[in-house]
Amino acid sequence: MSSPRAPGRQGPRTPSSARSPANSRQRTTPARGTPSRRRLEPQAGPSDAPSSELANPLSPNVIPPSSPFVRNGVFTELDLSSPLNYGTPSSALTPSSRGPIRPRSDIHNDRFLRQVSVNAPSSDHADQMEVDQSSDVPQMVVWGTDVVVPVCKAKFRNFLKTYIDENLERDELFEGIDPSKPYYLQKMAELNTLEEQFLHVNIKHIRSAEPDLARQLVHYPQEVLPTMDMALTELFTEIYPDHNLPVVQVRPYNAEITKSMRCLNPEDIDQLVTIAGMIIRASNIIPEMRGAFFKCTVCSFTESVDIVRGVIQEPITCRHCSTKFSFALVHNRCTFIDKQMIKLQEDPADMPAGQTPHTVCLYAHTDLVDAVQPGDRVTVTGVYRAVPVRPNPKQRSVRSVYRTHIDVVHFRRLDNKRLHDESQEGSINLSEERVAALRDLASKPDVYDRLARAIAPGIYENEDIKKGLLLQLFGGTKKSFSGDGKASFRAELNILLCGDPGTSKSQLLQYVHHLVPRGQYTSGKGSSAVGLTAYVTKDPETRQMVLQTGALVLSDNGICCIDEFDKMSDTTRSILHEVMEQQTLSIAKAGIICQLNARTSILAAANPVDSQWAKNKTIIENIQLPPTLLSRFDLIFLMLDPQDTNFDRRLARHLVSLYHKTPEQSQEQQLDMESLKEYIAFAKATCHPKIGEDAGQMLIDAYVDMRRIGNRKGQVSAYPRQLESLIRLSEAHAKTRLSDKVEAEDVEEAKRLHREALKQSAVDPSTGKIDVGIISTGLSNAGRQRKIEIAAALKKLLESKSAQNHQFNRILQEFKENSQYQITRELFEDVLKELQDQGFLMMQGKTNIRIC
Amino acid sequence: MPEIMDKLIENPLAEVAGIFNSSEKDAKLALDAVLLYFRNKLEFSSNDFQKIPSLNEANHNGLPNGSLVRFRGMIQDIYDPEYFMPSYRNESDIVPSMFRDPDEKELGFFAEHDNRSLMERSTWHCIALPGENTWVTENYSKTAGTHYGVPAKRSRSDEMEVEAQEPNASRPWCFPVDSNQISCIVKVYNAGDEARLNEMVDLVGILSHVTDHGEPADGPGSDEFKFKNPSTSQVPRIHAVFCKKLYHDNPLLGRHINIESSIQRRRALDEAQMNRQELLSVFKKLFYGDEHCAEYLLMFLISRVYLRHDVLALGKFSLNLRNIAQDQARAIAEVLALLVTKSHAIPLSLEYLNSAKFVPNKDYELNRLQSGLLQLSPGTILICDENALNAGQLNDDGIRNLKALGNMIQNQCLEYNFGFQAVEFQTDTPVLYLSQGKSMVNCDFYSTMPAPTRPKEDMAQVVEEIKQQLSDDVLTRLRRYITVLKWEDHQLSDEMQQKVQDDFVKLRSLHKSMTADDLHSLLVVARYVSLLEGEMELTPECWEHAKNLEKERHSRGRM
Repeated sequence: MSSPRAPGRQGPRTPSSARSPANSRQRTTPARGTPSRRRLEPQAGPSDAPSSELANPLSPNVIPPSSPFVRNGVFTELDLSSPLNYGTPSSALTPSSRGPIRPRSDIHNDRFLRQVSVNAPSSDHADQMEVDQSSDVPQMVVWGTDVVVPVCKAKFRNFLKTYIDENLERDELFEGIDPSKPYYLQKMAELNTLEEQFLHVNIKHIRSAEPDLARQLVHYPQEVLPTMDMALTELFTEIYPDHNLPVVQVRPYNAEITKSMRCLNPEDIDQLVTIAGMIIRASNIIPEMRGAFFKCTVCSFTESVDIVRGVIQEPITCRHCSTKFSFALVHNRCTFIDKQMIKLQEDPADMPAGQTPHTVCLYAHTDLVDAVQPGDRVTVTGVYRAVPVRPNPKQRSVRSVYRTHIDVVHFRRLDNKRLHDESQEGSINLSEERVAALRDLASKPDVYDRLARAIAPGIYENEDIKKGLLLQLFGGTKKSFSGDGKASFRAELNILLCGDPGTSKSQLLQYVHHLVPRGQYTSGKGSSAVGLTAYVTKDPETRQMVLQTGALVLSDNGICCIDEFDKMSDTTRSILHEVMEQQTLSIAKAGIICQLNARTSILAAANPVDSQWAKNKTIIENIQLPPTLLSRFDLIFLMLDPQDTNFDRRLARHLVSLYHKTPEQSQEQQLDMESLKEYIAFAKATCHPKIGEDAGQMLIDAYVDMRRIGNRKGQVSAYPRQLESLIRLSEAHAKTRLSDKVEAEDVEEAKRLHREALKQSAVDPSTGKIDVGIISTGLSNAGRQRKIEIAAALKKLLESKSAQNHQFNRILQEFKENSQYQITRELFEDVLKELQDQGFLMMQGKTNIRIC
Repeated sequence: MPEIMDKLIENPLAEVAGIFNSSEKDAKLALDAVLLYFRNKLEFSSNDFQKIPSLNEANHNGLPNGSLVRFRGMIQDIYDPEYFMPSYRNESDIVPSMFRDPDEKELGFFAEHDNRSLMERSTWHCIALPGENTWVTENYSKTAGTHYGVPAKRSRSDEMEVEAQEPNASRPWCFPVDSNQISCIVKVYNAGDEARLNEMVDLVGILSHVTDHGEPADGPGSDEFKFKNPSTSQVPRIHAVFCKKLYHDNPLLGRHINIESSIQRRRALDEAQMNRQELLSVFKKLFYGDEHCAEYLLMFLISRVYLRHDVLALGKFSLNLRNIAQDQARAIAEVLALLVTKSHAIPLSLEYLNSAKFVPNKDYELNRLQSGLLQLSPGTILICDENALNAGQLNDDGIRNLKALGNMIQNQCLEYNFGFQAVEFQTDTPVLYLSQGKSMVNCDFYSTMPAPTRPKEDMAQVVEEIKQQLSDDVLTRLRRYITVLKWEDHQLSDEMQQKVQDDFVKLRSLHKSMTADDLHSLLVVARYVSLLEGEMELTPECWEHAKNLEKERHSRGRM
């Protein structure tokens, strides 16, 4: 063992003096802004004798009385914060220390930890501590805690060597990992290769292996963390003796169950907490002085002074020339560390309605500085602190008010996963009871109907539309073919609602918007293409070009609700083509060329062109949307005003009861919005249904059927897009049952819903039959047929004329009179164009027709 | 009894110390006991309550440190919770340090702190109710006790002076509207979790003047600290011992509408017919004799969101009156200010839309919420006058403002700008939108005032006339009437429900264009029509009247 460490230090203390006010004062945590102090101990040499004892895991409890830690009798001070003798680079390094020495600055373990022998008769603290009383050997615990340093070290060392976890979380995996081997040994090998200095340790792992150690770590991080560092460094140097890093640090994360910011209370002070939130501000780097370097202006004698409890005591008298007040600070020989203040704001989801989000101040040190940017969603693990406010920094007097902050030991970014993971698994924290309750709900036979009813209960009927929306909320299963060089198939469902004004389309949209965590609501009327996609602006502060993302990008992994879809300009709409099928957004603006993810479902609402739905027109004619866009919607629902007395009566009853019943009365049997949200989040996170054998066959049959119907009439009426829709719908339906397998019933329902939606939207008004052609080409088959006939008739008419040139208007007039069909000017133009395409005639200007 | 109260007002901290000692110096017990004590003292006794000097009227600098004061206002911002030491040990004893800001000299250097003994309290930034009309303020100060040593009432000029001075220059965006700019910092000791932003609260607390204001160390976060703990001479700081949510702020009714005002409530309902006629006659003058507009304006006055179903706000009644000239709009605002407790009129001019801030936003520099015009307490009437609009182009801010206004009118919710995310807050701000033609923003109800048959009178004169017509007694009656009706509940009997359904079916068969939305409107109108008549349940007559009103409105819409 060559790793150096600080010797036990300082003079004798008696139990009585330890409790005296003077002493206890020294134990306090330092004021805010106090750097974690490092006591410079120039005299500290390699002291091998004690280290071998501490380092020896085989004899954890035996510390001979001759050890420096106990040589003062019952109490000793153990400077746990320094597993090494920390020094400034300028200070003389002991021969055994290698490389730059890095102090641990993230936890302000400023107090000198005293060890107490629990079995000693003079100790009256024994009763307060949970110590393994069965042991006859005197145990040394850190004062005020139940931490026995050697035991703690041994446990941790053992944990590192043996812990195996087969179910690692996604962001814990790295290349070449073998889950059947001890995880942390592999991590250490990785550290060795990458020359990193930090070992990230999941406390959940510790808890499963060494529950006691985990508890201690959470409750006494200041004591336990350095101990763990010590154990880790020893183990690391043992395994990789040639490594040139002197110290490896432990960075724990995932303490207790993640707390919400609102739950933090004074009891959590000085404990390890893990909270989630969004970074809203990060300050500039603040250099924090660690050690000051003074030089005598008279005789150039130099002296280094360390920070002690946030204060640098300027030496008054020069020891060399005895001049008073002759010292000047030499800035470039002082030592500093980086520090950064970060503000974390709670997630709006954790926040009760009507309140403002809380914020918490974080301090990040050294290489955690700039590890996160404003806007990142992170989970922070750190030590919660409260520091009294000092009215005057020079005085020690304080106010009765405390300021709180968290000294960060670990950041875990949540966004990373979103960027890299194709199958976006939202981390979801639910108690076991809730999970059981959700599973219970899922096992009910009518869960699908229940959930559908829970959507917008204030909106009357429209069961199928609600079911469609429900399936959209769940979404299909993401399928990736990136391995085969193909793009992935989208899992998101797109839905278009169109219909008469006043049929609560907007309310449905609003409801869905409130139901999904990442939902955007926008109106087609006011949106521009850039508002939907992204635009480049100059940041007023940094004067850099910044990409501002629009609604579609912001609703990545959510639902983008677009109201008044028909009012959108054509250029804006054309952007949606890419988003709705490839789920990406390509941008080339101001030298920024990139492709952004926009894995969003689109829920659009459109009004008919003539404000009222014309029954005798096709859907294309009614909403004037390009068929290329329409075919990208999985489901297109018509919301028509049925104009039917029975319906009116039911509607009236529904509305009246809405106005005259309290929510409790009317919603008794329904799921509330929160449960629905929870259910959806849970299903999305845990459930990835695969298509079963029968289901697959059924899908094939269904598709073949759809094609065959068209074939019989001599046209193709279903396209692969429809098959994809069917698959997505069946998967989503399987998710509503929290099932991992798509069954026959899912396909049945998907088929039914798809048919329902089609029945409503793709009915050819002139024949009354469902015609997918309307959606894919904008023309019904019958309409196309008619057009061909008219073209033939017109050709005949023109051929019967002898002249080469004809007046447009005259021909139109003549044709109108002779034709059996109703000929409009538009239709006439269409047909002319077709004939022109055939090369039969040429249009000269607007008015002249010339036969070739 | 009075002496006890006087003493309590003078030195409430003595009581706190007493309770602390008698609860075995246990801070947690003592805290609860203190709050309970003050609740028992103040909850039901209006007399005692009114004796306490109010910060709404008196300048806080004239009130002694550590005395009991009250404040009526709205929670503008809720700061992060802070930890404090509820008691400390000096040379001889354990002394409570709650409900006050202990002098740092007194505290000395107590480094020995046990973190477990710290307690949490929240801090609110409260402001006087934005848009509160002068008669409300005057009436409150009339009832406020003229207590010992209370400095002279905050005179108008005094107030102006205060405004002109420091606080607002260095603390911008604390107030949504320009008038009535009084604010205070409130330390709240009990469960601040139930507090909602923009709620009206009645607070009693212990005034704290902090003498020494040594600035805390410069460094990250010190700006925020300075902002949130402003000099107590600038912004008063009170430690709340009693806090109650207010439903209404009508000084003519008791503090608790259900208990003390039951007689007045009865009277307001009994005289409903008369009051209604009286108000109609007043409003008719404003609309050159048009009764239809007058009726809708009256309904508008008693509207509120009484129920929310998911995203649906029931009862909202934003009203767009068309063909209203500028002088008329001004007159309407003036008359309404006499009748309702809180109202605010804004000109929707291009400059205003482009420059004003409608939506509150979070200032992350100081970590506080900057107020915007639409941050109003529930029930504040917003009067928008589109006459001021001139030709030109709206800039980005203008569009955003208009969008926010539109969203509020339609859904009664407002998305506050929290930088990285928008947080939605529910509002209850009835909007009266006066315009020449079709409004820029869609309202729930719109009606057109027909061109007057007789020559237009001078509006200023009409207002004078109205003011003369409304004697103090009448005004009092009408003001009570409006507030009482606002909070009344309304029922629909089973027979009437059946009738409503039948009628809807009938109407639908007659008018194809009638939609579900029209039934929504009809139900809302029916509710307010019958409430105005003093009926707690919908009567067939009221239903007929409501149908006629809506029919008339629709026919006007087509004009």
